[in-house]
Amino acid sequence: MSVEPASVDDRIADLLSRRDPAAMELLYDRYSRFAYTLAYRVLNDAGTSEDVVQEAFLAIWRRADSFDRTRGGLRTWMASIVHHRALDRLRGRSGRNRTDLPLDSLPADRSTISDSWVQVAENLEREEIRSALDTLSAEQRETIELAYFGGLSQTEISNKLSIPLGTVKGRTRLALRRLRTTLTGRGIEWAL
Amino acid sequence: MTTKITCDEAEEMLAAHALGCDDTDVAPLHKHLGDCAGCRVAAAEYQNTAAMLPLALDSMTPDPKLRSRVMAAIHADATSAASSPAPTPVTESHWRRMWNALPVGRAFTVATVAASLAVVAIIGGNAARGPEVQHTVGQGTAAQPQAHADLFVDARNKVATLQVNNLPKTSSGVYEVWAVGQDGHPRAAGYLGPNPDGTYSAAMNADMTGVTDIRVTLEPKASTQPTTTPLLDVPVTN
Repeated sequence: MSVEPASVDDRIADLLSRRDPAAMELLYDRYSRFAYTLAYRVLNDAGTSEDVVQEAFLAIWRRADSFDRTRGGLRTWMASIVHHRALDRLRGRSGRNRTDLPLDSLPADRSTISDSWVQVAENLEREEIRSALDTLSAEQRETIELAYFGGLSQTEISNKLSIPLGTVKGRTRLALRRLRTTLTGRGIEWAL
Repeated sequence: MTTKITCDEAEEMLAAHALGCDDTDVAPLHKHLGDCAGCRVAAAEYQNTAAMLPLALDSMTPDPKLRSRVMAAIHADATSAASSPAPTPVTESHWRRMWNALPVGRAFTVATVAASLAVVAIIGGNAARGPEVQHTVGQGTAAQPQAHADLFVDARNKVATLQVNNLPKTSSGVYEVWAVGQDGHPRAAGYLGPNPDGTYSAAMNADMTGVTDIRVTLEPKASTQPTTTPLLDVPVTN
């Protein structure tokens, strides 16, 4: 009998809420490849990527009490922590630091945030994500690539591409909105 | 005073933040989110959308040893107080006679010593890795020459983990870890636990001040002083 991905995440979330270390075993088996893939894509170094993954899992364990599924699924949480830490490592070497937005401290809106994206993340195949990315313009894809995986700030992207900062900001926003709209159009319903 | 921003400006900043490319003051955005439920929803949407991006990548698998390392670090965090007992008064005794008879370089075989002292501190050895995690390699003694160990000291997260390979399963007794001080006294530092992949790992206090070696013995029962000969030695760099 197969276990539905969302059920696995529910199980992990439940164990996390009780600070049961078994949650981390399940979480690691489920998301370590995802976390390592992201870290490696940003850092291009196996050792540093492993350090980042370890830090991320330890951070999740230490912040288990703060996990709130109404703000997103475990994968989103994992991606956010790994990405931030990978960027910190990347920028630490180039001398630029990230300013964090303490979203965790904000009140949740349980009635309005759907967890549909959890299901999306679990069920969509890689090719579907790639296909959704293909709906973006080449300029939008490049901006996302330079920002998310390349670790460049909007100002740095503006300089690199020799385009106005306002254009970069617009592309960033439109690209994410387009991506989300495309995925929504493939059967994902939003409860806004 | 924090500058007020519109929902349109907030959404632009949220998209940038989700991708990690924001380089402006987030205080106005934070203030705005505290007052605007609609933008809080948008914040979650942008974060969730950005989290989809890694799914487009070809999946990579980390070194299998990382699992043991991560779990040992989590275990260390969960039980750090319990796993680092207070130093106990030490007197000249059986352990001292025994351990003094087995210093590195005398009782250990030459080959084992050569391997056991192969310290591979990451600092400076790999510019891509930070100095936060120090990695040292240890080797089995003459009593257990096939064993080898990796010690990771993560100063930033205040955890140390010892991973040991090629130790035989034991049906009786416990593998106990000792932190040897500059005075030569071994202090109880934790216990090795078995991992699903056949390795053993232990979580320890990351404060290695004054510690010269980490050693492992097989004790008939948990003890505050070693009663058997060391099976492993990992030199500690401070």
